Amino acid sequence: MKRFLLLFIIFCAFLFQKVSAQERSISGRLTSTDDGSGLPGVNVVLKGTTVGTVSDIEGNYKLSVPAEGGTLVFSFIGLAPQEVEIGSRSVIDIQMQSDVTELSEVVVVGFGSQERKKLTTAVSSIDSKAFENIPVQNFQNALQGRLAGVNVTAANGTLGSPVSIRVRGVSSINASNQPLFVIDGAVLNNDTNPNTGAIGSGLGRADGTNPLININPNDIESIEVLKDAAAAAIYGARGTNGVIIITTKRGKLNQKARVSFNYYTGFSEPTELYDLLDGEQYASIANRAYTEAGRTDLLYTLGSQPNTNWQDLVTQNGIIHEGSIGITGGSQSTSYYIGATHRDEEGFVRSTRLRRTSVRANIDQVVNDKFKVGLSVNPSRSENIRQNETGNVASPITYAALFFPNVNAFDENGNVRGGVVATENGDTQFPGTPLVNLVDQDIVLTTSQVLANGYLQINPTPEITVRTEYGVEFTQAEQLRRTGELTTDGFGSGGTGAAQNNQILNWTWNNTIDYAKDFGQHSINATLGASLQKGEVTTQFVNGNTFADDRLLTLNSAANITAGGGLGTEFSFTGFFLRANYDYKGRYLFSASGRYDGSSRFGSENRYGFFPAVSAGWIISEESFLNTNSTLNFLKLRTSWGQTGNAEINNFASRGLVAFGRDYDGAPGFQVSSLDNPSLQWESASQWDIGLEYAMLNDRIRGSIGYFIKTSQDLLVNRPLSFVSGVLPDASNNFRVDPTITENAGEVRNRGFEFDVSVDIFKGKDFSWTFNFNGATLDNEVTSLSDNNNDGEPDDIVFGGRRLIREGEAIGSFLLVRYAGVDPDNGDALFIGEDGELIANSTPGAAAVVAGNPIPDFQGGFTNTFQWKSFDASIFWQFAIGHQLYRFESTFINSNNLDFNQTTEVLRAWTPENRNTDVPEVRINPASGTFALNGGQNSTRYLEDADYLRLKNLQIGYTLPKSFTKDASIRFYTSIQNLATITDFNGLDPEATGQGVGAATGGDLFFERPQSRTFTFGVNVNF
Amino acid sequence: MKKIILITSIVFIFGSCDDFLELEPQQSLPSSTAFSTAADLQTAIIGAYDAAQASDFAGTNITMAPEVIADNGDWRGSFTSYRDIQAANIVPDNVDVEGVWQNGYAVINITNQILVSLDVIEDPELTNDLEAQLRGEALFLRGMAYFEMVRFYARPFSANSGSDLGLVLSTEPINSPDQLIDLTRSSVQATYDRAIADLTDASTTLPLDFIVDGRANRFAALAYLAEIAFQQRLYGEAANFADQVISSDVFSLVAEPNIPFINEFSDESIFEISHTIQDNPGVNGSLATFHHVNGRGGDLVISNDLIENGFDQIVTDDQQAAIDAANLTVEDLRVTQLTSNEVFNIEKYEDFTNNADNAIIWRLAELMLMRAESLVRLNGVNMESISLLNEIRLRSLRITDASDNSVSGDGLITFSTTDFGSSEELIEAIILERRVEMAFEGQRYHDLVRLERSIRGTNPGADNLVWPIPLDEVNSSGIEQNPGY
Repeated sequence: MKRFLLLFIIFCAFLFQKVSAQERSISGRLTSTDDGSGLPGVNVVLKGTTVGTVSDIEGNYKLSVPAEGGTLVFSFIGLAPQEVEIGSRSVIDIQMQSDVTELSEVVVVGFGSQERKKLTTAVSSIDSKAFENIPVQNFQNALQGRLAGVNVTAANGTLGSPVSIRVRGVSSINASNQPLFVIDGAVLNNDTNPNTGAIGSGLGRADGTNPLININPNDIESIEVLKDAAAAAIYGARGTNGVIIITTKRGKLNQKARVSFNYYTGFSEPTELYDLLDGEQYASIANRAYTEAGRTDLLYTLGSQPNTNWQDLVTQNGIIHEGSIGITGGSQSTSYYIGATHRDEEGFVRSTRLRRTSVRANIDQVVNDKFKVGLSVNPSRSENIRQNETGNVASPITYAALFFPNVNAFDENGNVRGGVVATENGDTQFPGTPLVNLVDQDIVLTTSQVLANGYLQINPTPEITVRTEYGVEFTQAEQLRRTGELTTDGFGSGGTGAAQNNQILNWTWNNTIDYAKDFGQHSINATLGASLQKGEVTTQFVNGNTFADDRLLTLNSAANITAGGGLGTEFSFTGFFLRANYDYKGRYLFSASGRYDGSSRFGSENRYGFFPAVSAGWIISEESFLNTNSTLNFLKLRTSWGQTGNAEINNFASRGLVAFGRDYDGAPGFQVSSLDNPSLQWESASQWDIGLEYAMLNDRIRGSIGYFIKTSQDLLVNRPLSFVSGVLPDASNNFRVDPTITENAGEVRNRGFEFDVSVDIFKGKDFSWTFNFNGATLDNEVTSLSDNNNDGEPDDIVFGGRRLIREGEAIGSFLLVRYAGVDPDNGDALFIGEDGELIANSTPGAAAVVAGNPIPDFQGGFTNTFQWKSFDASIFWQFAIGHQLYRFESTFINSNNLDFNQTTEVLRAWTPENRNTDVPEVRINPASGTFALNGGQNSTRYLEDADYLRLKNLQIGYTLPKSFTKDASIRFYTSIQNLATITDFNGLDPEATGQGVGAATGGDLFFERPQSRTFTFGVNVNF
Repeated sequence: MKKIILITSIVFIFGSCDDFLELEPQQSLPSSTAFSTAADLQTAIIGAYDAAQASDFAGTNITMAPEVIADNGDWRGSFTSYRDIQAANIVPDNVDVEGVWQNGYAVINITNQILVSLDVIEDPELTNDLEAQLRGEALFLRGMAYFEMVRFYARPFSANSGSDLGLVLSTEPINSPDQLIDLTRSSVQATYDRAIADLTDASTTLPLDFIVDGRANRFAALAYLAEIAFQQRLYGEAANFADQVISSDVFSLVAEPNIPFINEFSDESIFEISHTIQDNPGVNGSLATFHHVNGRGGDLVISNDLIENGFDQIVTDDQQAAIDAANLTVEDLRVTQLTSNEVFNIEKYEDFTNNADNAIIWRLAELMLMRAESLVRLNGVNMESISLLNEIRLRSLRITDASDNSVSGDGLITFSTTDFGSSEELIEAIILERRVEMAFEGQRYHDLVRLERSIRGTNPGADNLVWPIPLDEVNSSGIEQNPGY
């Protein structure tokens, strides 16, 4: 954008250097309505003549006009043009409004940029304005609902939780489905796979934290998403899931320093919590079951049961603050952006807090007319005070839902109870209580990161740009964990302590040669380049137990060191690419690209791959038959085809290996951990895309509509191996991992329509109303799978017993036995058997059916933006429909198993007096006194439609009058996140992916913490 | 322009360096060369023990699963896999059913790798003694894996074992997925034969003096052979194998019944799976987690049946009357030392702090009771059986006088031939003793199967007592599922 601006200024200066010498002089200053700053480089032309000038750095202009005056036209790219009658005035100051229409934008496309008007591929972009002042934790959340075909979902509402992003659907079974993240040209580590070095792994769940948490949204100028293969093919083997390109803010040459300061504060609360039994309700339901089974020895004394609402005890109103400052400016040869942000957010779960401090300096220096250099440095540090992940029973919300309500949280002295806490009849769950786990447990993940980029750009001739850029990411993540001896995890061990340290070094070196030249009506732009990337991860960890005192925090105080170790892994990529864009008459557009990629991750027989793409566009509105049409001012048809790859698998998945560390009685041992597959290669996806972009009624209605078909072949499939193979894959924390071999097999097709439209419904001086709407449909189908057991049928792949990959079905469909309600005669839970017969309390595997899938058929978002005098408001809704989520937690809290607390649904349970109900009878096993299985099996009982419409953000602002603030602008605002949700989903939050943010099998929820409702109040100051 | 060409060439030369893509893993080695020296095989055999040590196999489940199925304990924990096993209502994707299968075959495969490699490698470091030791250990572990697994995944040994489905017999290393096509299950008989052949070889191949804590030895192989014969109701062979262990004089009963569990690798111990502070199944899989959580009670707790029909029956009414008459008190140390919380918790596995209790696979007391029972079945009421039984009782039943001085229990709690009117009575006394002595050591289910007695109301061999072949195995290799699943 800035480079373009610079060129434009130079261009304009040439154009208008001949100023006609005439009768009278007009001068004035051009300022921005945004912040009152002077606008340089604006064209000032006397209408109907060639008389004109451009404004200087301060925004001043001076022009001689004929004595009779006339009309001045002020125009500049990105600003709304204005026409002003000169009349008798000699000084005309103009405030100009920015008018970034999509068409005039310059879009970053990876190793270069292009004018949106001439783009022949599907690229969505979002300007930082869209998420300014919205209290998002990270830039990924800011994308939610904003871009057609880009599905953004947080794993859950935990602070720092990872975010799942799906660009045009789910196309991979075992490789990651997360897009590639590129910041200022350097590929970021977004790894959540513990086997390849995820940060913070080993907390009950591998994908516990967001590896991109340190990226500061305030530093971001724009985010581009390369959606179709023709756009993403320039990233070759890593482009299939789309590419998210982050461009940070940079200064402009010849610009006075501008300071932007922003502060907000507020609080957050959970959007929803479980509706659980209280102490008396729990006891009376349990008593009925005990009585029925003749175990009167276990009866609770009704009327005197303690009542503890554990959810209340572990939640709070979390306070949030964020302050940021950004300064941009530039001299004739140097431009800069310097930004700093400090953010401090408490979660609605007590004892969770995320603090982040980040500084960024981007400096560009024009050395001479041929050389330009730049350097960016972005140190940051975040401290994430966590609790156990939701998959761990000791996680606050999880255990608060499970734990007995009829026990006291505090002893008679007011101290928090811990260790073994039993109900009146001696029933116990795990040691520790939800509250003591918060109080006596510390988990702190500190991530220190430095991102740095440098580039050198040489223009030996005006047409040729040679650029080399080197970007490095250095991340150190240290997690310290200490659990007291009365907590679930520390009980019986005298407290436990653990320290883990990950170091990630990841660098990208890009070298490009760019050639751009116009030959009359022909215009050519070609880019040739090479890119190298290498990533290294090392991990060290130490665990200990038996602490003399819970106040001692470090492992030095542990009597036993119970485990320790170190791991390292690495990967590398090389790529060579060429892209050529050609247009004729500025309206017939062609582009072709190819990339030749190699990676260490693939088998020796298939280490390199080639990824081609072609695309074309036709700006129909510039044809003679349309260019006079006053209704339709822009119309472009574009189509593209391309191939991309997906290489996101384990670093050494192609190798037959024996793994060490398989020790016994102090002696070192190894075991076979994988079988050899030297032919392993990347997944490749072919994608065809067609789109129409339009603007009409003087740009008041603008948008695009498109359709794509994306077919992913040679899927990287971790095919389950027979256990007879004897393969024992690497596992963490004593968790057993099934043996698999990574193979290329199968095909998945995604197709869908995407659209976005913006309408200036009303555009006046005092009032304006703009409506944006974007949406995308998605149809996902597994179109081919291999037959490995030679039965002549493609083999299903089933994950975790209920997630199905089957030919003809959507990827990750739910495979479940059908629940048929309750037998009114006896209270048995009924399920539908293989031949349609009703079966009580048995889950025959063969009777499971495809019952739904978690991929929304249609999703998107819409925003209404209002401006009335000094007030502004925006209302952003986001929705997803046509998908299902599985409430796995319900196999505990909706299972009639009162060994755990239940939701109030169980109050409807079958009794002889209440025979017509959908909740089976609560029963115990008479011998053991434990609760019996009656309907709590995995079944369609817990699968639900998860359609929702959510008022994601509501923001109201007031800008102080200019007369009061002079050159500065001051705006106060209030913003509410997740104000309201319309849904029939009975779980906590329909907006959750559950485990495995990169996986094909999202949508399986286990006590996922809900999103927070956040109220903030803030101020922006610009001067 | 020359400058550009120069820069471009540098860039592309860097980029095209093939070495850049040749990375090697840092904690793994290629499997193709991993089994080529004597040192490799010594490391590999540790890997085989490690696979056996998994909590899913001999670390916990080989010991605990038979007790969860049978009547000594009540499952009251949250793990649904064990809950379903106890209820004999198992789904084919039960995680523990899958875990035993996976780790069992991991033991089998790595021992196959070792056994095949021993035949081909030429390494002067591989001395005859070392070769015998490695071969013997590998055979032992493979035989153990086949035998332990066939008892879960197939019908009990019977006259129909020639046709009842057994395990997939694999004796070749698996190096390629192609070897896993067309797998079929052998018969129960063939699986037993494989286990017997391996353990017989192991019992003669293992060097006599190779007795190392936590490692297989000749006597452990003999103990398994005794157990296999016992399970097949071949009592003559069982008595004979048991005698080879007992009369070796390598092992001796320790003074009190808790000593084997406190001082691991005691004189009584024949083979234990070792767990250490650094190397153990962790809090989600250790024996202590399931049996003994401080104060709270474990997931598996002592059943009323074990108390009423086990602990309370050890001292007969006549014996109790005589003791009472002499104003003495009798105490069963197996109850007072090895249970807690009013006979609710099992204290055999007490190291909850570190989860490092060993799993004792064989100890002398069991072989003694096995020989005692076998001899009665062969010869009727006999002195040797009674004295073996008395030896076990005298160690645990402590008699004290009013001032808490120990009094010899001889004659008070011991039996003589006249106490038993029939072989059956003596057999029942030994079975009772065995139930109490070996409680929670992984024998009860196998005993009930052998005795063809009801297991929580279900007859042995019923479809729902035989574990399913794990769903993932059936799905990936297509081998035949057990009936009823």
